[in-house]
Amino acid sequence: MRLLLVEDTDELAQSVLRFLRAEGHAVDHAPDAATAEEAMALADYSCVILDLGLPDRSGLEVLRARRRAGDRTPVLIATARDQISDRIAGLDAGADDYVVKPFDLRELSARIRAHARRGQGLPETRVALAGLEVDRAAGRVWQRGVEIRLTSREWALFDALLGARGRVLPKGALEEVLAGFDTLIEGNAVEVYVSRLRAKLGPSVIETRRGMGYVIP
Amino acid sequence: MTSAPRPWSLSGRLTTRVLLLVIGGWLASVTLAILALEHEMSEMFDTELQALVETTILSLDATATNPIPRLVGVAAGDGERILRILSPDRDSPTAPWPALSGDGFHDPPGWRVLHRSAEGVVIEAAHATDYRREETLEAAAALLVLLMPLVALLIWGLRHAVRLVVAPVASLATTVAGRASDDFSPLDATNLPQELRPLAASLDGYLARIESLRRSERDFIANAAHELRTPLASLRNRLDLSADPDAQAALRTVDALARRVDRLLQLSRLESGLGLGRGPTDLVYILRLLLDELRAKARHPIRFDDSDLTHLMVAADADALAILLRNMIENALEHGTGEVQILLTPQGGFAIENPAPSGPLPEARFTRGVGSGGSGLGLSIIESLARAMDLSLHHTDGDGRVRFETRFPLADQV
Repeated sequence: MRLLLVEDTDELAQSVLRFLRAEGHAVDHAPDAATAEEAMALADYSCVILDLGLPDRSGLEVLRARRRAGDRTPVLIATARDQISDRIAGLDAGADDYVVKPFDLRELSARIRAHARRGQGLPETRVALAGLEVDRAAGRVWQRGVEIRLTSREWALFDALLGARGRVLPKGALEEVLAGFDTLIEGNAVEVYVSRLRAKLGPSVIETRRGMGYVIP
Repeated sequence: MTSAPRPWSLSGRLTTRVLLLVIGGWLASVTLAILALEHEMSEMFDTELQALVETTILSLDATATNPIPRLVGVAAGDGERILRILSPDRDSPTAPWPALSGDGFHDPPGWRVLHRSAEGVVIEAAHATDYRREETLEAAAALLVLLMPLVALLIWGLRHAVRLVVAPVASLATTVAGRASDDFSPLDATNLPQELRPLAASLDGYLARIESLRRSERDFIANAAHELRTPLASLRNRLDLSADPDAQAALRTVDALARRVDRLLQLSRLESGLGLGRGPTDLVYILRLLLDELRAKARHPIRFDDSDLTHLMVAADADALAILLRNMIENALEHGTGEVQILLTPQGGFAIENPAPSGPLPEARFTRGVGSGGSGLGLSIIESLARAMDLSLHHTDGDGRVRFETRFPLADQV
């Protein structure tokens, strides 16, 4: 994969570069915002690792400018700013992920793999399904680039059906999934959650097999 | 020993004092008026006695026969206004007043008598002093009764005026009391009277100073975070990339150090007034962000039950909330021995439960729990933050399970 590392602390940058190159990636390094913008405008990266506290400008400004210009390259913010409001600001500016320094290099690599697109395709950890992108490890679903928020029970049911993709799951098995949530399960709970999932994800994602159960084909 | 001063209010004090002054002044003038009235009335009564005596003399003059001594009430059945005609040859009766001599007014006890000798008789016309006093009091009472509605009007008008005058003070007090604890904007002084402006100005000065102190403290902490984390990141990576087994061992020390730095930064943020803000913040979103981050490194699985909520807006500062929740979850992961369960309810209830060996929880700062990789700061951060955020934290420990519960105040529905 072709990656861009935007980091002004040279020592830190060198160690990250060494690790990612050893993993087989082609990694460019930009020590400031100006270089980073230039590189992002010229090359097509699979993922950008972006520091926020850059000497010339904030990394957030770089990110916002690229997103305004229509650049959808996955961006992973790696910063010392650890407050949740910083994280929310980063994600709102268009970042795909956010890690706080000091980070585990293997975790950084895993997160890059989770977001980096291979060519025009999906990241390694995502599956495509009836117009949806699903990241089972992160428990997240997107529809045309927009994340759809599923509640914990909705996700549990969806994840169970995804795990058995192509195989019909009887209602009893799905009731067991819901029963894991420690609450009283009503007789029609599975039907209720399936219809909620259909409302959120589209009517054809989950199919009903009469007398047998449900399936994601 | 000094006792606490009694609470008092400007409007109460002003109303009472003005009322006392005005009513006192009125009473004094009414008293003076009554004294003047009494004097005038007594002159009037004396004139009446004189007229009565003169009329009697005239009528006696007109009759040829000798007058018969007698005693008559001026009005029928009247024992208070009396006309007495006496023969000078006989002894004067001694009741209701003793014998008098000499023409003119006399004041025997209980009476005012006009004594006159004419036409061979003695004529005495008298008023009981009780009768006179009663008449005077009736006149004075009429005066007082007429004043009553005026006093009532005064009280109403005074209350109204005082309330109007004191209104800016009351509204200033309400504004100051109703401010959010993290609101440092200057007060609106446009409608304040001259007397209150210096107060508002110095309050604004204090607010601005607190705000700038708080901001510089925050900036300092943010800088410190950057200055500490960046070299830690470099160090961690270098150790991580080294093939030396000692480096791998040192990695764990660096991680523990990083966590300690984290918590010290959180603690200083807490002491610089984090937790005073009241949101609104989406609790579900914050929990999802935290879980996304923590799950990657978690020793135990985490199960999150959001009770089918996609959003839950609570009245709490996002950063404070995140630090509180992160410490609660990390605490459960560090001290627990199995799956961490997190439950959210639509009413803002939050519970975190995990299996754990029973035993006392580490309470104080820097005391380390059994098997804990942290520095024991977590619980002290949780407790201090809960206090700053006005949350009550319940902790139950039994059957090998530890449970922390709290309830977040929901943000006002907009």
